[in-house]
Amino acid sequence: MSRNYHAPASGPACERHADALAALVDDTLDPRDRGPLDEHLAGCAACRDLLADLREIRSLAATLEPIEPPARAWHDVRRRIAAEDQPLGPRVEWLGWWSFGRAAVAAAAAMAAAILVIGPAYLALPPSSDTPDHASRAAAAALEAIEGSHAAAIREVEQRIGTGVPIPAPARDVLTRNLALVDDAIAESRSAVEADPRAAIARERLQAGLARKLTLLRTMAALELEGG
Amino acid sequence: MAETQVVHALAPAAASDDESAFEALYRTHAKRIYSLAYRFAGNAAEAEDLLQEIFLQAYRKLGGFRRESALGTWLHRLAVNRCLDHVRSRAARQDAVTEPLGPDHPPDRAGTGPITHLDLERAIAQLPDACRMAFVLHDVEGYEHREVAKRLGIATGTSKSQVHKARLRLRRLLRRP
Repeated sequence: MSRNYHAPASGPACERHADALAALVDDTLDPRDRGPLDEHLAGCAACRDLLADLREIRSLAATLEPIEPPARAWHDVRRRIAAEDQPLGPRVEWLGWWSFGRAAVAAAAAMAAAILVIGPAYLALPPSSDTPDHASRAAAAALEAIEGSHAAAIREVEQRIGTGVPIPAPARDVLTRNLALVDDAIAESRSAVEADPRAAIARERLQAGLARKLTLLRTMAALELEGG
Repeated sequence: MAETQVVHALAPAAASDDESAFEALYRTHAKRIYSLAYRFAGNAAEAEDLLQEIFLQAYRKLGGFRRESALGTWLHRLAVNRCLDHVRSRAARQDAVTEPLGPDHPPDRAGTGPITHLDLERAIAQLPDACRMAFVLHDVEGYEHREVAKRLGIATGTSKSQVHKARLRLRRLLRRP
């Protein structure tokens, strides 16, 4: 801070240039006014110090750190929200982004859980009278019927991802995490279909998992594109 | 990428777990909102009250949120308006809407080292309401003078003048012994 605070810039010439000096600190000084101010500054140490101090203050202010609120604040907000007697209504739609991660995780987890439960149940069914070769061909045909409709689209979108503007970390992390969960669920569904190609629920789960993956991939590609 | 684009892209995937979604919104923006409230109010107790009121207001108004801006921008605007109302009503209660630039309190700062952010935070709290609000919006939050003027309901020239007064006052408050 100023070495010459006790000799403030207050002479008549300093006063004439006060507005220009303030504008210079704001970076809004008209270039036509810069010359006269520079001349004054060259001969006035007090104004030079004033300029340096005001710029320092502005710079410090711009780099102030955010202040952490007390931890209890959220609990108080939550308590007051709980006391609100309002239906959730359209709020839910607009909070889609915030709840998306949890929703996708829950959906994928539910999908995986269902398959984990259902899969072994299929395996516990009475053995099919099909021969091993026939069962294998039936499984391959079932998988081809389900996966074939999505495979090309997924490959096409996967090739586009990574070529656009990088997605900000929070969104990317949510999408990547959910993609991994959906992939796990797809793998489980696939195993269940291979075990019993006739199992309608397993085929539906696989179909739903692939559709979900395609949606996630398209979302990622769209976000990269919009980032530009 | 703007946050609004993220919101638009993912909104269809919305779930019904409203409270946890709102908590995520709170966790993301609480620090910035609290900082704004703290610097406007000049003390922690009022800032905490403001933080709660702002998020409660946000919760009530989310249904009216339109896609013209990002969610964070919408929330910040709501916070600025609430903080302004608070400071103005406080000033009205104190019968002092604006304060003249009178003598400064003795500087809090000791020593001759560089000015720290804490020094500046303390000095900002000592500014008169009118120039503190203009200073916080312009120099801390990064608003342009015309935006500051619009928010405060003053002329752009007045915003420039208030911010400059604030810097001069801060300079006096932060002077070395």
